[in-house]
Amino acid sequence: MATSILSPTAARSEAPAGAIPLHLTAVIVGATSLLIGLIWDISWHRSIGRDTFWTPAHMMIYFGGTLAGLSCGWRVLANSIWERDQHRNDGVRIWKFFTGPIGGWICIWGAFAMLTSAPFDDWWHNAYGLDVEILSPPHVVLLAGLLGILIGAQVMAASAQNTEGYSAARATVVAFAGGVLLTLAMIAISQLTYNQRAHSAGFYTVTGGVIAVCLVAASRASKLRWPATVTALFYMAIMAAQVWILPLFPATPKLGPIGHPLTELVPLDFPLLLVAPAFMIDLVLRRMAKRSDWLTAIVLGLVVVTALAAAQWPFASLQATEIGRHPFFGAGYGDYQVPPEWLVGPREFSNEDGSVGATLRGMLTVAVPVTIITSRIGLWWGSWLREVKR
Amino acid sequence: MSFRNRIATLCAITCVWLTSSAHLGNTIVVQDGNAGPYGLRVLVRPPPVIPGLVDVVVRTTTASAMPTTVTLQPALWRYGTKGAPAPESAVAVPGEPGTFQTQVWIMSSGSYALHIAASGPAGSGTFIVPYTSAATATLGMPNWLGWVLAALGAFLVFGLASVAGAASRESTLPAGTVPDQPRFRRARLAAGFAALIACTLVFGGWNWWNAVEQDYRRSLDRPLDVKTTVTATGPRTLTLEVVDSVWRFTVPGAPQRRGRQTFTPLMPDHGKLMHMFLVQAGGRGAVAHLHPVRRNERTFTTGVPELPAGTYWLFADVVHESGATRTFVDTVAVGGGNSTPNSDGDDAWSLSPATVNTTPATLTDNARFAIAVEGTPVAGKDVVIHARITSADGNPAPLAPWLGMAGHAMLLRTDGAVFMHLHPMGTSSMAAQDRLARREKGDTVMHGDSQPAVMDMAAMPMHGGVATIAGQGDVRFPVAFPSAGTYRVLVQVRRVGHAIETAAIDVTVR
Repeated sequence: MATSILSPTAARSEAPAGAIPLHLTAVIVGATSLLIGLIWDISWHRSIGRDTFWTPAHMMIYFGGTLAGLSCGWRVLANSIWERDQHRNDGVRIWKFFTGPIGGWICIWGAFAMLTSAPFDDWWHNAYGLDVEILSPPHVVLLAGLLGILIGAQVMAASAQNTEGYSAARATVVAFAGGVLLTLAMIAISQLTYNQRAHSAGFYTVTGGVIAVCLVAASRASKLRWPATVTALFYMAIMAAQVWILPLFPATPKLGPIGHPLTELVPLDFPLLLVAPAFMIDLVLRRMAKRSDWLTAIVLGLVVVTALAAAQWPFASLQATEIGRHPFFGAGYGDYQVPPEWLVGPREFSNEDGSVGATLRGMLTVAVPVTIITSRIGLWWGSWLREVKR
Repeated sequence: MSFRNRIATLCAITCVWLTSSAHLGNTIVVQDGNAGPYGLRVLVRPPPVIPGLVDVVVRTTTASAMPTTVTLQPALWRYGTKGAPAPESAVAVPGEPGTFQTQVWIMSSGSYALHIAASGPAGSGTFIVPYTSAATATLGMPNWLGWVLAALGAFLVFGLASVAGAASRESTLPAGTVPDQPRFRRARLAAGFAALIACTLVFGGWNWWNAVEQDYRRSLDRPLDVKTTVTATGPRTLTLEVVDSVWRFTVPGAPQRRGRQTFTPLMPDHGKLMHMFLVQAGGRGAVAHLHPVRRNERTFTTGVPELPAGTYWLFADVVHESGATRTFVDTVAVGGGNSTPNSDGDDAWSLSPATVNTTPATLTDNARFAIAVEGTPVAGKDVVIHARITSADGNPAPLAPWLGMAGHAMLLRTDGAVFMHLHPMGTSSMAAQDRLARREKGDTVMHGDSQPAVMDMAAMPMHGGVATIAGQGDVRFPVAFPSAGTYRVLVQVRRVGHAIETAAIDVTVR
């Protein structure tokens, strides 16, 4: 049985009711900077190819990591040393002495992981050459660091939301942090979820599995009316904005061989229509609030995959036509290496399942079970986020 | 020096050098050429890994005409300059007038044309340096970096476990509440579980890393597997068979199968499809420069001239139509059978090449053959091997063209791990230079077996315009030694009215 020795209001005096605490603002700004820097950096590699330590995209990543790591580090040191008496029992304690918000600790861990990835990645380039893939062991360490900071931001936002009365601003920050996290997760799997795979069971397994964790957790964590929907809209807004904004900037390839002439930054793909499964997640969680989490997860697994396929399958067909190549949808952009013939004419979908029947079977036997499991993880994670108070 | 360069330098010390395709053990290209009015010497120092940065130094060799700007553009043979990034300006090296330096990215293994353009008050011009890129080394991790990464990794695992434990213990408690005993127990469980997950991920990552390392090692360039035999009875015939399973050729017009490596057909260089060098093991005995005939896609044969029986190091150079060069390597036992008349009038051999370290060799009619190294032989720096042949009256001896050149040279490290075939215009293949220039103009034909067996050297356009068909006494070979050690450089020339003559010097490289 836990014992209260201090009143919560005495420990939470740094921000007026409903406002966003300063260190949470810093972490959210840092997380956003990280995400924008990452998108910019990937676009840079797809368009220009050659970079240095000092590219603006890298600067945004360093700034984001540093801001989040240092602001949380500062909070921990303040709570542990010069404001110790005031904060003795309002954070989580690590190694008996240091105390700070749990989200802050996760951010600090993420910043250390990012720091670790730097010399590892540098050696990796020297050992195996400049990498041309998103996923490599040092990049996974970097990704773990980025995830750490973004998850830390989400946890910190949830804690701020949970320790005061309802504030739309704080609840929206939880959804925004969830949207930033969802965007990073979608970028991380983007080599498996490109448009030409959108008529295969594998696409729905990977996408369903990942979005279920992020959106189900967001739905349960935020106190907004439609939390998963708002979270998915944040993701779609970020990804759509980069499709429209990045090509406004001129760029020419500085590495070869160059498959086709390129004059502007190439954006990442148009966002998947995650608003559809997100809306269904919100609906299911409302209707099944009193049901067991396992039963809810089973329903969620079916609903998420169905809603995702209902929205994305026809949308992918549209993107494969000339309409998709319009700058609004951005399917007409290609990395500098791709030959010009890839950028004209209708696109074919990868026929990896063999037939539509096999795809449907794959969805039922693989995508849905995977999504059920990840929905259950999302429910567990969301429940904790709803409860976290430090 | 940037952090990255420092790491590269440190790691280079622990490199295990394997092989290069262009020449055995030496990927450094030194090439002379004329870019319009400017005589240039280009030194290309490749990285051990691909993709990587190639270091290029361009030195002006004409004192009368100095360029003010020099640009470089690396173009992969298949794409040409149409698929190459914009030319990069080289930076003038302070204190060295006429010298420029830069680094360019090479992204793929294969044949590249480095387009060098120079301009200045005297005008402008371009020329092509062929360069075959290949990953050649695997990199060890310095101990200190290994320990730093291991410590950071352990800290991350420990940190993750601590954070998970702390989160489980008190993250959901209202501020000011002290966790009870069951929460401490739950925290220990959570920390253990997180540590287990983290260790599993580290183990998975370790396996992934090992798989990448193995794939990388498989992709390293290596001499292809060959089987060489010399007939034991009757006239001695040497047969070289390429037994390596990757020795498959691109069929012109046929679609490429994904993941299946094929080579473009071979083409003659200096009029010959293969230049084979037999050097008596140790490098100080007999030497032969032969030109085997291709019997089929995998097999080449040649007669063995009057070489003494013994063990020979074999190096055989071929050039692909992409411009990529390749050296086959083997050790072969030559028995004491009958010598066969050389099958080719351009074959040359010497039973005991004269060593001219201190004094010139005296040739048949009191002519003199001297060799010297111009410049200090330091690993990675360009020097010039200067051969001087004088008649009995002391005047430069007129030299007849042999295989289209005034002379040929061989550079051999005395342990047999480095071998290069050199020409007066540099270390790269003239046939590759010619082919890359033709492709740039739009020629995409691969000739394969339909190509002429022997090229008309006189009709061959010499890009850069430095290919001296014949000479007058002096022959210079620009080259860079790849590493420290003891080398033997053998030079072969043909005086007008004489047979081919060979002399050698020993060079210690720091």
